Order: sequence, then structure tokens, then C-alpha cells
Amino acid sequence: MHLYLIRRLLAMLPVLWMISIFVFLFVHAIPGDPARMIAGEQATMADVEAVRRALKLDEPLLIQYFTFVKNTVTLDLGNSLRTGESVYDMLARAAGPTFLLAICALGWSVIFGLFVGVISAVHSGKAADHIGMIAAVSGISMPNFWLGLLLMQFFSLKLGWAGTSGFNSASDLILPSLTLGSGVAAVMARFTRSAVIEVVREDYIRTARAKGLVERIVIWKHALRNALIPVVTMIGLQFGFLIGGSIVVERVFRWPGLGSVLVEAIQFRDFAVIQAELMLFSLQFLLINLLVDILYGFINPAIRYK
Amino acid sequence: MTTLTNDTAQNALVKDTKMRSPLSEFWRRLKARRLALFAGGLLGLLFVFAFAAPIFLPFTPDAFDYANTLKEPSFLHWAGTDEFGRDVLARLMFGAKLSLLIGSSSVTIGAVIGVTFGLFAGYYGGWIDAVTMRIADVLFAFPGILLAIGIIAILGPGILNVIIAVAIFSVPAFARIVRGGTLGLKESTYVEAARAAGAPDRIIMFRHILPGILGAVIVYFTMRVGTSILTAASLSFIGLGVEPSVPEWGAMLSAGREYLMAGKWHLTFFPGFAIFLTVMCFNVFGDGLRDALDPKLDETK
Repeated sequence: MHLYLIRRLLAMLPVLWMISIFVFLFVHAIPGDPARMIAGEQATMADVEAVRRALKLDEPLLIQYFTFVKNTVTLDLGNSLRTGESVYDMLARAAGPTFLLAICALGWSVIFGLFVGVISAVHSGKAADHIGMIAAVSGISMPNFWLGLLLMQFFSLKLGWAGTSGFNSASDLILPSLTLGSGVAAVMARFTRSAVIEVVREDYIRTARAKGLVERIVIWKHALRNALIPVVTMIGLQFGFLIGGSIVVERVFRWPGLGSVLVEAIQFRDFAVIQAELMLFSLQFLLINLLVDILYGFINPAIRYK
Repeated sequence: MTTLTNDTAQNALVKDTKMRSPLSEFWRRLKARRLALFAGGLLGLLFVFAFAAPIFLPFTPDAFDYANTLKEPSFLHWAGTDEFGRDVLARLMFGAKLSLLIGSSSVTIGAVIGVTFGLFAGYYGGWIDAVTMRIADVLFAFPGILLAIGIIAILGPGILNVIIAVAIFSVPAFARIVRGGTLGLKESTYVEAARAAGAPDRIIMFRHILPGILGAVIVYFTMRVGTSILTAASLSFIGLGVEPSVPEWGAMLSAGREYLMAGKWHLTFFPGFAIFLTVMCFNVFGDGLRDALDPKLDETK
């Protein structure tokens, strides 16, 4: 197991390396001269050159790349070109709200999705199944920014139950996490349904029924447990999806998270921030994928990591 | 006499077990899925309306009318007017054309690149396969919207860049599907026969193997168009897509939210509903196509 973990962590390195090249080249691909942009509109040629030297943008590309890697690894992420604030501080401040939002959204959507999925599978072809699955396909097709606005309109503006934007109290988490999780709940419901339907056809389920187990136990203990193996993989994939979706949802609720920071940075071409954010997001996905693989081993004893 | 009855019996038998052509079998299964057919029909209507809208509508999407700004839906303006007095329905129709164009063109580009890479990877194997699938894995590790945002960060906003961004994130999925199908088909007897007859690799790949996996590609294509429309609208909503003045659904929602506080619900409701309905139709239609193509998935039996 330890050996497997180490091997998996090592396997992440080439991927991170590819991503670092991509992210680094990004700075050189953006149209316009970053040095001139930082120096400002009224800067003289000398000023621009000074900035270029200060940021070491006059060095060969390869040297610049090594500096970039060294700085990233040592978490020396530089300063925002717009506000001058330390990028590390900006991200550290924004990571908490984003993480909290993603966890809340994942929590309710996985539990709710599993529940609807099992109910649909048990009543396959009947009314409950149809309702569940129509709700699921609606959830998948729903633009979450529209859902967010609808919820805001109803609960904040009409009923006055919740705030409309920002993160000032714990109750501010409710609407954004409902919005963010809706798509995941829908995907989970569909996926769980087909996984359970598949498992229910197996012999051991027939055995469980034949020996007189209550149907409730057959479904929730025997069938769900085995259906859970593919479902866990799905949860991992969906967590990545959630973090991507949070960028949009954060904009709807003006949530002070990583997504809002990223979108603003892109609009102002604040490449120091964009670079750091893209690296952070990539690392997150790789770690999530690793976590899913490990969890998979715990749930499915048939898999032995060597 | 006996031979005659025998013949008839045999005929009857032949008729009974007659193989339906794959296409008619597919059509029979699709017809059984009313909801999917309905969704497909709605999409057809949307196409017609999107491109024929100027004929029906008395308004153009960018006609200002400062005497009638922010009007709620009425008999004259079915979906109301926006902050410049522009007819929301006319803008929605123009937006439909835009969304359909962005969705279908980006997925087409993504499909062509992905299918080509997938065919080569599956057919030749070896290092071509390893490199292609490794890259696909890395691209796959990212959720589509983030990949698209990353690409927009490099290219800058704009319709063309949105199409490119959405196309790139469709590539790995197509490559994977086609690679899997190619691996299965390249050892099949008819491909062996083509190879034995001296057909060049290019012909075998595109003329013999590709048609065999086209079904899966079409199903995925349909579903992907819905996702792409959603992604493009999301990009526009957060201000990284089309220019704010363009009547794109996501951009309209983004502009309309400023008036939500003032109770102008129609500026966000109609564009949101348009995205929802269109994406839903693509998803339901795609689901139906998939079930109709894959007999194993037929749960009605």
C-alpha cells in the first residue's frame, strides 16, 4: 500500500511537469508585453525596461522557466500585478470559502443523489422512477447560474430568508451550495440507479432474498454496498466538476473564493495570479484522483495494490 | 404437393427470423422512445425558428427604443424589452442561432480532431497510442469549464475563442471512445479481409473501421452539443465569453441580473429557460439515441 502510494505520487510528477510548461507558456502566449502592462500606460521606455529587468523577463526562456518552477515549489508566488498583494496571501484567503462551499455541495448532493438513485432503481419503470429521472435530466441540463439567480430571487428578494451575496454568516452557504450541488446530485442519481439495477440482477441478491432477508436490507445493505464501487469513482470525478462549477457559482453569489479571484485576474490579465491559480487547480485534481483510487481500494477488497 | 408445403413453411420461417437491417432496427427502437423523439422534434423547431426568425419577428435584436425600456412581457413584446428597449424575444432568437452555431461548430471541430487521434492511436498502438492517451488523460483530469477558462485566459474573450476553447475540451472524450472502438474492430474478420485485399491503412481506418464506430460518435456528439452550449453560456455569464453587447443567452442573463433587484424577472428568466430547454432537448435526444443504438441498454424488455 505504501509502495503503491509512493508510486502514484511519483507518477503525478510528469503530469505536473506538463502542466507547469503549459501554465508557464501561458505568460508568453498572452498578447501584449507584460512588462509594459505592469509599468502602466504613461511609462517611458526606460521604465518598461526597468520592470522587465526587475521581473527577469529579459532572461532566456529556459532560465525563466526554471525560476518559475523553483518559485512555485518554494511557494514564492510573487505579487499581484493589479493590487501588489502577495499572491500566496490572496489564494490562502480565498481557498477556505471555496473549499467549504465545495464540501457542503458535495455532501448534500451525494447523499441526496444516492437516495434518489436507489429509490428509482427499486421502482424501476414506475412513477417514482420517472419522476426521479426527469428531475435528474433537468438537473443536468440546468445552467447553474440561472438556478442560482432563481433561488436568490425567490429566497432572498421575495422571502428575505437569505442574503444575496458574499459570505458573512454560515447561512450564506445554503443557496450557493444548493446551486453548486444540483448538477452533481442529478448525475449521482442517474449513475446510482443504473449501478443498482445492474447489481440487483446478480445471483447473491437472489440468494439474499431467498434466505428471507427483508427487502430493505437486501437493497440498502447488499445491493447498495456493491453498487457503491463504481459510484465512488463517480464521486471523485464529480468533485473535480464541482470545483470547476464553483467558478461560475461564485460569480453568481459574489462568493469570495478562488473562482472569483481567477475570473477577476483573467479580466485584468493579472498573470501572476492566473499562473498560481492554474497550478493550484491542477494540483487539486491530481490529488482528488489519487484519493479516489485509494478509497476504491478500501471499498473493493478485490483490488490489491502492489 | 409435399414440397410445396415444405417450401411455404420454410418461407414463413425465413420471414420470421429475417434480420432487420441495423438502420430499421435502430429506427424501431428510437420510435419507442416518445420523449426522445419529442425532444428531437423540439430541436428541429428551434433550428427552424433560429434561422427563420427575422421573417416572423417585427423587431431586430439591436433596435433601440428608449421610450420602451425594461417593459414586462406584453402582446407586442412577448418576452418584454431590455434596458435599451430592445425586444427580448428577437434577441433570444438571435441567441438561439448563436448558441446552436457555437455548440455544433465547436463539437464538430473537437470530434474531427478527437476521432482522427483516436483512430490512429487505436490502429497503430505502440508509442502513438501511449502519447495520445497520456495527453488525453491529462486533459481529462480537468473539468471542462476550467480547461475552457484556461484557454480563454490565453486567447482572450470572443466568440471564436469560445468555440476553440470548447472544441479543445471535447477532443479527449472523442479520442477515447474512438480508440476503444478501433481496438475492438481492427482484429475483426472484415478488417482482416480488407487488409488481405491490400487496402492501405488510410482506407482501412476511415472507410472500414470508422463507419463501425460512427454510431457511438454520433450519440456522444449529440450529448456534447448540449454540454458545449451550457459551457459557452457559462463563459459568457462570467464575462469571459462573447462581448457583453452580443445577444448570447449567457451574456443576456449576466446583463439582466443587474435588474433583478428592481423586479425585472423577465430579463433573466427567458434566457435561462432557453438555455435549460435547449440543453435538456440535446440530453434527452442523446439518451434516446444511445439506448436505441445499444441493445444491451434496452431496459424496456
